[in-house]
Amino acid sequence: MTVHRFTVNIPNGEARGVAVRLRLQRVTAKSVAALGLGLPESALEVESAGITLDPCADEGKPELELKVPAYSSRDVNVVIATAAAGPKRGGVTAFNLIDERGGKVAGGVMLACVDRVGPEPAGQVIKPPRPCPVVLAGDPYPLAAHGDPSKPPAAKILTGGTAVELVVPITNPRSSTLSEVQVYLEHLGVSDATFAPATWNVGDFAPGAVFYATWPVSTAGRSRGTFTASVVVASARADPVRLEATLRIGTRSDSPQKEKTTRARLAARTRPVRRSPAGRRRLGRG
Amino acid sequence: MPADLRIADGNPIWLSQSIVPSKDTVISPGQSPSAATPNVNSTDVFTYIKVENTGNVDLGACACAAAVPAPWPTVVLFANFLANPNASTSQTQSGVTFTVSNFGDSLSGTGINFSFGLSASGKRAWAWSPDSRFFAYVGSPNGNDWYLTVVALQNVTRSNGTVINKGQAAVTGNGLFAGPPYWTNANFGWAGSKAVAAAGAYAGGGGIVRMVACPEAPSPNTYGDLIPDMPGQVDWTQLSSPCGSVFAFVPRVLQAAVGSRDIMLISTATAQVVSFRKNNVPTSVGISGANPSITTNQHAANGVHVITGGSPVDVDDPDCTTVGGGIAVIVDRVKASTLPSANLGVLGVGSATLGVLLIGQNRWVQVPNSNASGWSNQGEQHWCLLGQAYTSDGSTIPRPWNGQAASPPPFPVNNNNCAQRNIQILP
Repeated sequence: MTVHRFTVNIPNGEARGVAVRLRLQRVTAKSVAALGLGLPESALEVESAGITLDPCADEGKPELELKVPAYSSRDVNVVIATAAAGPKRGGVTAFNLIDERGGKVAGGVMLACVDRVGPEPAGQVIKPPRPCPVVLAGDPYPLAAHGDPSKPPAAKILTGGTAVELVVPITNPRSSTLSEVQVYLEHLGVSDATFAPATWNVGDFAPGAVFYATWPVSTAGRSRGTFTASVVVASARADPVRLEATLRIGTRSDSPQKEKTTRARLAARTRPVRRSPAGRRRLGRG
Repeated sequence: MPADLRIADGNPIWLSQSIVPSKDTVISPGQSPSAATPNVNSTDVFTYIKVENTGNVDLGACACAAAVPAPWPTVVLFANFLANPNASTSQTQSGVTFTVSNFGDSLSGTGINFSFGLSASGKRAWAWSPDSRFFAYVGSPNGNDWYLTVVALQNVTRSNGTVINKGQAAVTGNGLFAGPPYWTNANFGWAGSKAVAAAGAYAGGGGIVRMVACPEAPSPNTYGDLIPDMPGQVDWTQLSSPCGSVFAFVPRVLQAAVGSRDIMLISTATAQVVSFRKNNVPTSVGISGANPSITTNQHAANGVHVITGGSPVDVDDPDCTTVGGGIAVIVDRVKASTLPSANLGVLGVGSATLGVLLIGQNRWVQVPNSNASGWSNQGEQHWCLLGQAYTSDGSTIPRPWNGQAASPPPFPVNNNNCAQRNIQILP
């Protein structure tokens, strides 16, 4: 038997005390499967399930009523005992802890008991049927305000604690003109950099042409390292596509010479910009 | 229904299927990810938020509705002029009345009571902006001098986000022109509805004095210069882009021997000189002919066609090649709780943006976990992801909640653009 213990907070943000009725409701196996969490398909056999205020109790009651004073909260404990899962299949069961106030459902939380065999499956690459063909024309780089975005600096490193324009060059690799091309910056990865959002309407995009999309970017200076930004491109009659652009944030001491030696490696990681799940794990947090 | 965004609630409400932690590499924002359970060391888990435009306004799109092809219009000269100190008249437009009298000129209406004072020389010129948001007035104490005042007829937001209140002066300017006759209404004109242009003979010698006043620009919101007067050789046309984001001084080269002269662009958002751009690279456009023209053929890069007198050129549309803003998506998380309150503390997860979302469209926005603590679970496996979406301008659809503020209120989960999802963070 496995005992699953959960501590759940019951808050009251109102100016008056409130009476709360808590009850456990088992989630059907079908509903658990519908969550798409990739959980084991087998249902765990539940031996007992209850709510208690005692954090050391081995069991509780299916329902519990308590009073929560104004602007405060109380913790309750949910104790669910399940039989051992099959050795090769694992199992899952889930309960909704339902919070009722004044005879109405005010909120709740789902508590899942999982007995998994082996590690969770890795993520998959999900490709669209008609991807927009636009690709990056090179690594992103910083630019002083009002500069010429077609002239990259010697060092393509964003300096922490500064505000610059981030240039992301994109190109049309096809032999025909693409129409209604748009590009926007979705995020700057796990860095602490922020940006002013904007969409560029590239419109008709000739074969081989390069458009230099720019966004004002500020780096707080806490993050250093290599990050993966997400740039989304779209064109007529195609699915919009995320392009993953490698971004480097460093300090003033990160010299252009040092940058030169790593440029080829970074370029290899940037093109053709659709990265494997394993590649994402290599990202640093700075 | 006005502008509206939705992150669909779940059934029950704490299990939204529009908030999905996932390890998948989802190439297209149009595709849905499969859910995953992060652990405390996960660095490969994004939170995907499905955002739907359920309102009747396209969000993040170019607001310029000018149909293309759109020739850039010339400045519309002020239609009204008086030169008699004892004249009296009045004009009313959209409930606002302009009154001329020998006691002083004024503007009045609901919430508007603006006095321009006495124009002692008797000379004054005036005009409403084509969109009726502004009223421009020029007076003159001495006849050769001029004082321009542009009054806002409704609350107008400047390009830096500050607001000009209804009935307040948005921009002022002044100068001297040579003469007589010094100046008339033909020296002033509206360039679209975002700039007033003034030009006349320089009072200090040869040359032409030019000024552009931009009521939506923050201070200093006028541009001025002095250029050589080259009669019979170079003349100047004043144009504005179809939606008024730039004003253009366009030379007309009347004698080929003069050579090429560049168009000068002034941003009406900043009242500063800006460049044409081609694929977003600054470029100049030289005119060598007597009949130049500018036409917007596409609200996009290379969408503006310029007849120069030599080889025509295509440059980016200054009105719409870039459209600022879009939709912001923010994810926070709180420990397991039956209500999404903030009493146990709120951990930020990350933020991302979505560019354009047309009416009825939906997109999955990829939000990275940029919190330095990653997926730390603080010893508690059960957490609740809180997702919200709003427009980046902060006004079309305001930000519903700031979980990182001091003592934040409970998460407004009942808002259409807010949703929650219980997740497990494994040790």
